[in-house]
Amino acid sequence: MAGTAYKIQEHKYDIVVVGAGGAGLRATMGLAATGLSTACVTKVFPTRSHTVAAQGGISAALGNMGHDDWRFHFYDTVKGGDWLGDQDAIEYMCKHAPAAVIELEHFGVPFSRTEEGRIYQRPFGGMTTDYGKGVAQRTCAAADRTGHAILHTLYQQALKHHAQFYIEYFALDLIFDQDGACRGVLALDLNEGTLHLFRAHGVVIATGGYGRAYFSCTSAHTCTGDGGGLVLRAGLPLQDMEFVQFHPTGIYGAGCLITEGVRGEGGFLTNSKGERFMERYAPNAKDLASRDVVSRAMTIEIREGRGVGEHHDHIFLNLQHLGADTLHEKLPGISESARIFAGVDVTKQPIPVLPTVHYNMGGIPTNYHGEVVRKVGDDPDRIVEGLYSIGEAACVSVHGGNRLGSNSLLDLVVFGRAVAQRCAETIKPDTPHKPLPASACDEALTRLDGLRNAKGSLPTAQIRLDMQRTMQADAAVFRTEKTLQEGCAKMDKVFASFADVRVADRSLVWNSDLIETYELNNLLYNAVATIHSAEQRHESRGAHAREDYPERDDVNWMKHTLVSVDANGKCSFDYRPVHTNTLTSDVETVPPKKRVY
Amino acid sequence: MNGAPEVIPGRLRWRARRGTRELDRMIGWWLESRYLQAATAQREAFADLLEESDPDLWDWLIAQHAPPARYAPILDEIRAHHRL
Repeated sequence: MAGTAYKIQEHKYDIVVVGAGGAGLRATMGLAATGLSTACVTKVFPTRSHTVAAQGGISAALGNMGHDDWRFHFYDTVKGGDWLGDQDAIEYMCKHAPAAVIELEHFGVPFSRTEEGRIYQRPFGGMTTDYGKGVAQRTCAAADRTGHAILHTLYQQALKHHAQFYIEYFALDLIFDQDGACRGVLALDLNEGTLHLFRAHGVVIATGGYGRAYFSCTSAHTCTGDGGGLVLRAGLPLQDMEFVQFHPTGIYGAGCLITEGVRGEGGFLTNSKGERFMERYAPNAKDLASRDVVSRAMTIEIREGRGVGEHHDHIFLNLQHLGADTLHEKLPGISESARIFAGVDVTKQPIPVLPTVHYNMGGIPTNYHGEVVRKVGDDPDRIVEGLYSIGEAACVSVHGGNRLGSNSLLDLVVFGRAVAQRCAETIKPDTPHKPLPASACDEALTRLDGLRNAKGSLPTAQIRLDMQRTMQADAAVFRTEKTLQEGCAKMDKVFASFADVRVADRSLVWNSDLIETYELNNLLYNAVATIHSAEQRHESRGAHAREDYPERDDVNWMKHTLVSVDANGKCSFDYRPVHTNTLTSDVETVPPKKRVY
Repeated sequence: MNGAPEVIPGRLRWRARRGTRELDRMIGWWLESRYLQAATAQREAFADLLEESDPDLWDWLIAQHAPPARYAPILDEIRAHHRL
């Protein structure tokens, strides 16, 4: 290592959680409560995780507002995911949803209430009763602060159970033993600039999504897919990375979200000819068609030259006719968002919008216990010892090809809880740690030394922008062989250009340049995995829409993509079957049929 | 003072990363374009502001609620820059 010696401080825990969003905190508190010594390593302060942006709510068939059943929720989720979700995991999530929400209430989440004092529940897209016949009121919210309330409550609970938090520590790489079991994580304390090896019997990855791989995303800066990077670099695959959810109305350039509610109140989209083009694509639902339909229509308009603006690369969202009072009363915060991030007065001008990356259905493949799985020989569900993943970082897969609104917060708490229960069953508190090979941290340290002293010609920000523009252009809403192949070639070049990165600051204390370079590397792994996965899936399903293969193909493609990425960015593929079986006889498998709403 | 130009502390740069895209942009703007010109008291107020919760920051910025007085000058600058 060129004579550079790095001192590493060692910590021993039964289990270590990476990430302190909703999933990481729920796991951390659950693990600590069972008596396992638990550390949570997080790059940002827990209540500033991106879960804070989840305002909509959390779904659970409590039936507080009328007739409901977790089996209806199960059906909606299978259908919403376009039959790519694993039905055993979906049964587990929907069945445990009521208990998980009641538990949150007991922990202190201040859910909004009905006059009778029950948890209030609102309708949400895709949530129905009686297998698609009625509209379900299934989504629980704590005013418009649901995400923050959950983070705050779970963090307090975790502290109460004596979990140890290592805040503003950045996870550099996973550490494995000679048998391939994950036994810890090497992290950098951003404040002290010191290295810490967290040794554990298991590592739970709860690092969230990778929205920042795209130019236009609704995510905060912090969503850099660190878990995907950690896992791919360890030689393990990710699953279903081609499934990326786009929200139709992100503000052009800024990415900030304009809620679907504005179209519910009469807002509509227009192209450069002033035409209300949604009438052509969805004659009945028009601007209120589902997210994927609207996003695809906007993309076609732009591609056919009818986009608005100097580069003809976005669409207008018109609210001018609604009047200031309606906007203020029914859509609080929208006028402000539009003024701040688009510079428009919504009573006089349209808002420039673009389909914007919102959620990653793909991620680290796991079973419904949160245990990471891989395919070994004929066994598609082989557990990777010591490695767990939950939340948006994971692919359980409960969301299949497309996630329903308010199922993401549910996913976090149900599987955060599940992984804690699983570890309590399989790990005995204070089990001695087996010795690690002397070389266990060598690769991670070589990488650190290399990046810290990177003297190439390309600043991190330049490579990041190249990646974001490529992904935005070619791994977009609507995909076709030609643009995907061009995009794959471009992304491969961008990935390779990382070898020429330049890091200006050589210190280890608060070196944001170095950390952003690590994050960029994680993003690059996620990005190549995504675009190559999209290229190889020759069908349209959920959020993956292929112009050249417009139909879903259950005969050939009702299977999960597994993608591995080598150190040169080369992708290789394998597949796991979708679990069409349910977990118990409490509910029947939903057989595939055409997805119409 | 030697000749090296003053730079924004990495600690603040990191903590100006928020949980939402909206706040990343607004809080980040003040850090990038105002911090180095600000007086010591103002800089200290900004460091404290970063410890506040994201929903509170947003409500103060869109004037849903009044902020504590010591944050008001910073929040006013952010609001003015963003046409609020």
